[in-house]
Amino acid sequence: MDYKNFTIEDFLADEFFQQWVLAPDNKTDTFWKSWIQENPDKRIVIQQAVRIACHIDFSEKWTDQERFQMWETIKQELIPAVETEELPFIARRKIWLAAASLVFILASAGILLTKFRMSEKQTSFGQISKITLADGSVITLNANSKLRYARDFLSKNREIWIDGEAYFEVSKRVVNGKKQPFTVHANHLSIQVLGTAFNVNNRRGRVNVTLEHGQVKVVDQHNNANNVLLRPGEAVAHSEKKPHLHKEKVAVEDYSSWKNRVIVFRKKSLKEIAEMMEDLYDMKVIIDNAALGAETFTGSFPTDSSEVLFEKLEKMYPLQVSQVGNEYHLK
Amino acid sequence: MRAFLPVVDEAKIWRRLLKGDQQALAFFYEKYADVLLKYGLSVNYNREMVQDAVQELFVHIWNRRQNLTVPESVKYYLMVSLRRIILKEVRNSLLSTDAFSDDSFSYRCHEKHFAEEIEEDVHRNLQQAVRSLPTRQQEVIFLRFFEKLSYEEIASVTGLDYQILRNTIYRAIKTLRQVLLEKMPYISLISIISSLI
Repeated sequence: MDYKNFTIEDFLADEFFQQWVLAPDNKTDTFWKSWIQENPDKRIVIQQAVRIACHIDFSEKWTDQERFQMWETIKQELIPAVETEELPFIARRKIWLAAASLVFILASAGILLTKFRMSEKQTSFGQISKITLADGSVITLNANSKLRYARDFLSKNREIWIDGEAYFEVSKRVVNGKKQPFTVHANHLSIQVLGTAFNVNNRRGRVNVTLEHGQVKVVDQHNNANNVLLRPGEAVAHSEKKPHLHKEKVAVEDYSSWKNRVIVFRKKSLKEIAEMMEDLYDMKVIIDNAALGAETFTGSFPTDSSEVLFEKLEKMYPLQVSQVGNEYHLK
Repeated sequence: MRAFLPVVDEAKIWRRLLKGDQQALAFFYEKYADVLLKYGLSVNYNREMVQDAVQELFVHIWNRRQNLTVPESVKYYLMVSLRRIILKEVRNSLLSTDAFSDDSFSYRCHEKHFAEEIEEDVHRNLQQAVRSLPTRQQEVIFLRFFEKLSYEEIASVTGLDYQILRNTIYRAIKTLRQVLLEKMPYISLISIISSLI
């Protein structure tokens, strides 16, 4: 092979060259080293080719959680299916009759029941609670937030309505060989999920969706064309003022840190922080000095001790916090 | 097969699996789950789908162990089987109207934000570039540059003709380099400097 006119691409695509870079042996090593000596002008080309070859890497790994869950799923299916006992014909007939009449009764009562078919979970100020749904999905509900879902939410499409903030870890579910969708509704956004972890914040007419892993599709129910597909590490916000769904990269951990009982602020204005304290703890934070409202704050505090936040604020800014009843004044 | 020389006696563990030892199955799962992810993503960049396929693969092996023999290389066997499952799944999803299938093909790994050295930049840019190649090219690049399979072995895994395989690799390399040059036009300068030092 005449390598004299080889470009970087040519070298990289040459099996003998690849062999030297990837798993050198005596034969390839001797050949290439002497070839480079004879062709010093090709040294840089070779160097670049080697460099590219060395950097071709595949770094994807399962997270510990994925690894564990997958093995759990596998184990479940390893257990041989227990044979169901065949019922005699007459018994089966009776069951059918019973089932048919039950359906009839339910159908007639259906309209009345609609109101009561929804489950509701609500948290008070300062409270975080974990809810495990029938499909194994885990929802962590932040303070002052409300979830609603149909009692039989497994039977049709899995749908959930959220006011406030929640972190979703959605389990995959297959029904009749098809993946069952999971949809979260926040205001008039719908978030379509396959099996994933993400944070939804729906407060003050503003919805923010942040994706940790998996894939979700966020759709404006008033305008289906206004939709966006989120990839891990991305977030999308929606409000009356900014209705167009435009995603951006964010530090996802900051958005969902509250579920680990830490609240992280990154360049948040005091005004935003004040709103958040009110949403989560029903604390009225009043900024008496208007100039402070625009100051930004970066830091964190534990969710069960909001005093830490005030302490930090006092250290960082020339301000003083005074408490009057349920009101905190920043001066 | 050279590239698959196992350090431990995998055949022995595999035989335990065939006899119904679930721990043996767990051993192969632990050992190869990540490689199967990397390879699976090269066949079809859809993490969900790869996850399902890996699960299906191990369940399948266990439930049909009575019909299985000891493979020459467990890793090779797992990879080829995974590939079959994924391609079957891809065909199925093309038939059904899955709202996610279109997007999943253009999916790229997400960037990390941290202060990076140039080498890390090259690394990251290349990884992204590889993941945006057509899947066939990703697969051969994975098998050649990560798994270090010979052209002959790759041809037997993918069923590609030797000449087509060579062209596929060449095309992939060309794209990779082009992407790298576009993203880091200064890269050639850097290697010139570093070669002078």
